[in-house]
Amino acid sequence: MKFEGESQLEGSKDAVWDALNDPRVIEKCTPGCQSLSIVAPDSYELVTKIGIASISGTYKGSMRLGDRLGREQYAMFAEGAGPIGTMSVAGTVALRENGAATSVNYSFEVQVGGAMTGMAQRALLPIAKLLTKQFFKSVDKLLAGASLPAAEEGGT
Amino acid sequence: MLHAAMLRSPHAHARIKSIDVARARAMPGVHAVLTGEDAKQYWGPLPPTIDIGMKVPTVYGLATEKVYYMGEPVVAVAADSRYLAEDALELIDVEYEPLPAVTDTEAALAPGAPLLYPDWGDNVQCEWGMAVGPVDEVFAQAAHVFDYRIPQHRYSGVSLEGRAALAQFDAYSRKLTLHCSTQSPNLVRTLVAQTFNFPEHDVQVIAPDIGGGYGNKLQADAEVIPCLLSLATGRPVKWTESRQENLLSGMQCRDYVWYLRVAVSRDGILQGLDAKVYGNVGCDGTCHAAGAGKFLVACGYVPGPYKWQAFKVSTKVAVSNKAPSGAYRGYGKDIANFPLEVAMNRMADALGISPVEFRRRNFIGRDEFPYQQISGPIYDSGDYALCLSKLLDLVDYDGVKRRQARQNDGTGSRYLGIGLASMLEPSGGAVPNCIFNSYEVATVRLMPEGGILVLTGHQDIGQGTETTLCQVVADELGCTPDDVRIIYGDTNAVPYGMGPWSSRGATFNVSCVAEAARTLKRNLIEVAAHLWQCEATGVDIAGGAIAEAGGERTLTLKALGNQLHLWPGAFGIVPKHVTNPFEATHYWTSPIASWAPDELGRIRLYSTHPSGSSAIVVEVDAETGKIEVKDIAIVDDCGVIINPMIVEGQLHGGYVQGIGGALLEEFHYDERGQLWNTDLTSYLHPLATDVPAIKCDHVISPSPYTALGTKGMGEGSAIMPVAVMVNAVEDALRPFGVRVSELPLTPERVIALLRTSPRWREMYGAPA
Repeated sequence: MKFEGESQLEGSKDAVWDALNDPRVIEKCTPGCQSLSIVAPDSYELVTKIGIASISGTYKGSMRLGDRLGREQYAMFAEGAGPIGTMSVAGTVALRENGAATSVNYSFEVQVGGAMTGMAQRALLPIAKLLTKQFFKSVDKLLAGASLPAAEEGGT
Repeated sequence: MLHAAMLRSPHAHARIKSIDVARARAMPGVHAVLTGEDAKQYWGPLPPTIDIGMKVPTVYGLATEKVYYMGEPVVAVAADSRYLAEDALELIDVEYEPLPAVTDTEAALAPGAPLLYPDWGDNVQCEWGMAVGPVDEVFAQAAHVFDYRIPQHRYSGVSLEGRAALAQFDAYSRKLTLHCSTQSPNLVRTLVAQTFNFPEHDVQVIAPDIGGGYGNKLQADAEVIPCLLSLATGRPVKWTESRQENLLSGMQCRDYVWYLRVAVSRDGILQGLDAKVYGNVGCDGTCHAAGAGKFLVACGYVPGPYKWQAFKVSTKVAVSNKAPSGAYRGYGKDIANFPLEVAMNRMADALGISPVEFRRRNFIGRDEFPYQQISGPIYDSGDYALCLSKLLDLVDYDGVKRRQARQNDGTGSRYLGIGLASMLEPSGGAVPNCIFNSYEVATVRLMPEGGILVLTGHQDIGQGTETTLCQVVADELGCTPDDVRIIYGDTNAVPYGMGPWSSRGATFNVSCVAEAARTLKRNLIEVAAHLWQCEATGVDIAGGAIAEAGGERTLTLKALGNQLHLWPGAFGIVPKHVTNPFEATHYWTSPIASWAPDELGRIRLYSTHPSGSSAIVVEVDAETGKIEVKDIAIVDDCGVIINPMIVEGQLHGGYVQGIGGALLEEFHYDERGQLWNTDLTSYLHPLATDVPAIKCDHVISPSPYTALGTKGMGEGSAIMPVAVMVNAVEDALRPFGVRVSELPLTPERVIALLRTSPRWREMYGAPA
């Protein structure tokens, strides 16, 4: 399943790059993130709690960043498992200056397993969109200098 | 009462590295959390339901070392409510090591495929073949040899009523009572006893009037889990399958590919058939359910209603990382019917003969019965050509063909087509080494107040058993159906019997009930004749009373029941030569089934051979790919008809199920073994608005081998429509010269098919 989109962040390309590659930002901005531990540079383990109807529950997983092309593009690999199935994500995130702001393009191949499969086509993409939007909104707030409260349940 | 929930595998194939149930066990309201390893103290592996030279895996009701399909139960929970049980599932941590999965039939059989059971050395659960007659010679000399690859996808009987089970283990009496939605309570009792090594006579299975038994409810698979939880907790445990559980694991069916070679003479006479079928039974077709055997049935019946000089057939049945495979309205007769009836139309086209004429030239003739088919079975009776002729009238075949010539002139986008096929529906199976065995027993009992009880191991699954058996007994005993009560569905009340599958109700069950009623009638007449000191030959029963010839003396069944049981009682009135005037029990088995191989190694597994023909008229929209069913006509020959309304109901229902398989129903597994459609908005069924009123007509060729000349007829209507639909669509799309290679025929697939046609691409400006 393809999952693609674009977000505008209020910040220079460099600032956005630094934020998106910073595990502390990832921890603070990932919806529902309960904990992020650094296993190795660019390699993390996460626990997140999602609160959206049929996929609500605690998900454990890992995330790895890499394959960087300058400060323009990087690859992200993530996989996780929760009460209703498994998910793995692989793809790229690309940054582009857009005036004073920065456009972030993401393109992921998503594989789901277990009960999640049955709802994937209809329900999962909208949920993924919502969570991604929530993530970038938080990053945007951080860039604007806000200090974020501890992560709430994703999707609430 | 406790409620069960099951944690199911998200992976199609994975090793279980660890399971942590501590948090779930600690949850208030949870009474048992059992893994596959925990459960081994209560049960052994699932016992085989069929083993005809098959490889039988060691598998349990809960996964142990590996999971073999997405949705396989891994941990079972019993809690105070279903809500709590489902919540507890979320507290269980399972660590899996995913393994490569295989789902496609031919990929599973290819060298190097991931192996489900590595000790087998391959993924072949069952392999078989036979050859009769001069096969090589016939093919070498034939004027025409045709080759086809004909696959069918995976779908099943997805019923509104899924599985449900309530298990009650009573620790004091050491009795296990299981209420469940099953087609064969006695078989479930045996399988549960074998699974738990529990005394079979201490297990009672109760199945009330159930629904949704199209072959899908013939095993004790998930049903053993509530039993396990009840044994572990000492409390009643209930499980009601969710829709998702039903689609994931509720016994799937179909899923195979045929390779046919057919030799035909210059004048359109079938000569040789060389057929191979590769079946896919998912993770197992022996223990979870008996799916593997259907491919053997298919091998025996692929010659259909036609005559052949030479025949060769073989099958390889693959295991794969899909849900287990069971029976579904056909059990191999569908697999036999589909490829040949599609091939018949394509060959007729190639030979320039009408599909009607081609069939007529090759049918077994009405005067040739009983006919031993080249593959071994004895066909009891039939008139295949008459079925086809009546069908042409019923559907106005010539009229449709004339309209087609006008409509399909290329000016519009809706193309008219008509498809037809003939059908052979072997019914009343008697298969060795499996639960589909070969007898039925019934008891017919006269009660003191004159009513009649019929005790049968058969089961009412909505097919009208109670109605038809009441009719049969009323006719035999000269009373009314209201005087008769059918007792079924309680293993402690009825004789050990097999239940309804293989359309055996109208063969085995009707025959043993009729014979038992006849015996009881003879005995009652003897008693009356003894009372009246007259000859029994002149005494008969009618209108609920026994009457002397000439009508001088009569005795109602109630009066006789009273005399036998109460006033004065049997001792005073029963003649010495009548051993049991109260009830009669009859054991019936088929006189033509035989497990002793003949000189060619052939055995005979079916007791009657109903037949028929059917046609579908469609309009296919070449712009949208939508298929609209305009007309359906069925001519059925099930021998003597007991209840015309029930027969037509079976024809209607089965036919619509078949149309579902042809147009809509499909389990969408991806290459990783993930099932994508686990609800009824993505696994689609036909609706009432998708089918027109169905026209039915009948031919009656009584079976000489059943008590009343009846034949089974529960499956034929469901096995025909897929071939008929393919033939109709190919007929409609004749201007584009396309051949269906994939099912079901969704609009997307129809457009993809049309896209292969140069003419269509030219008309619709589509790129190649």
